[in-house]
Amino acid sequence: MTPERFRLLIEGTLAVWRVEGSLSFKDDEASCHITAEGRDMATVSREVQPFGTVWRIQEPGRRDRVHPSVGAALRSLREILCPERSTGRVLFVSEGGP
Amino acid sequence: MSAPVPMTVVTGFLGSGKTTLIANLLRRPELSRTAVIINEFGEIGLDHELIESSEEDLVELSTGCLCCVMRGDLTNAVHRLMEKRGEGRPFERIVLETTGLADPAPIVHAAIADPTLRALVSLDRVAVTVDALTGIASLEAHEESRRQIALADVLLLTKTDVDDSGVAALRDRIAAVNPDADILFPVRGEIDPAVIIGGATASLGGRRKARVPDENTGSLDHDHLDHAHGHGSDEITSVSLRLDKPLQAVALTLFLQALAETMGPDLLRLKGIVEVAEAPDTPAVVHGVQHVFHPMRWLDGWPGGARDSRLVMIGKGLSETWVRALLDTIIEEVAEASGQ
Repeated sequence: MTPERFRLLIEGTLAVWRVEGSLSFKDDEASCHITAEGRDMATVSREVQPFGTVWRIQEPGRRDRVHPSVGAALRSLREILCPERSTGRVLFVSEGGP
Repeated sequence: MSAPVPMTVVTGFLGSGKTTLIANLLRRPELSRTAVIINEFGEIGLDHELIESSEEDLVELSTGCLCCVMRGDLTNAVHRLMEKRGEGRPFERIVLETTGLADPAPIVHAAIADPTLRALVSLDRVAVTVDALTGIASLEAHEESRRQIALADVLLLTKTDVDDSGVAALRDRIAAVNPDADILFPVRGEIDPAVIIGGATASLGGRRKARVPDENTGSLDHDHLDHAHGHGSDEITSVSLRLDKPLQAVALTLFLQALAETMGPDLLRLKGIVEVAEAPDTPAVVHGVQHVFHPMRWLDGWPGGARDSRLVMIGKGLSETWVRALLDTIIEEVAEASGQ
């Protein structure tokens, strides 16, 4: 994960959610602090740990959330930034019925 | 000069089953001498490869939405077909499949009012597919869906074999928009070809003409000022990804899940032909409408022989850079988890 791809991922996700916030990326790191509606909302970072690479979501005043995948990390971030937003869950429907 | 060739317009919102319907109809002997014009929204065409045709009279238009570029492209496509016809590849009928975002009104209007087109084709009917699972949501959210239904001669409610619990409510909503259209229920695209080739043509045509707008009053006509279906704007956009390497099956599934979950109802359509690492010689066909996906279908081989793996997504707020970043991240995570 390059810092550039991390930036595209976070910026694109917030665009999809229509979250208007200020993003502060750390140079040479996959880390971003998100400010919206005039307050600190969350810090997202991707870190290498001895057991593998993880996503860390830090919300002020809350315990850090650590996730093993980008999908889980974005779910966690959505719950912070736009909990009212409808989500989707892939449902494979067979031709004969659900 | 030969008589105009009858043309049926098949339209319907994204993922409502237009291509499935046409693919099934073309296997019927009654429609063996049919030419097809396909209009796709997105820079990488796909639908034309999902329709198996024994003839080469299959013209793909990939210049955007036909209802926007309109008469020039339609006329050119019809001319190309007529040239093939003159070269000894006879056909008796044209089926025009529009994009899922098309407003059929200007197409219908052109076929009736444009002197060049009118000399070549006679509009038979407008058949509109409506997804029984997502039809009400599409009707409520998308003007394009309402306009398609409003102009239908015949409405084809698809996927009722999957879940018919919402059919009564959907019929009520449809009746409020277009109470006159016949409603039929194809199962996996299977329908009596008479729906396409007519039989009650005169009455359908008469009814359709009653709804086709006058060019001057234009109540149903295509107005780009008050009718936004995006086409590259920040409304509805199409993203096409070519995949240079085979995808592991688990990465593909995780990508679909992440995309559906992150975008929610803003993901309108996803389709693709994908080279899956576990079975590279039998490409997987992926079809999804919003968050509902069909089980992957495996083709016997690559259409045309070229190993051209790609995904096409249509939705609100989509950007290629974001989709690519998401997919690449998932590929990387799967590779790491599997020790590669």
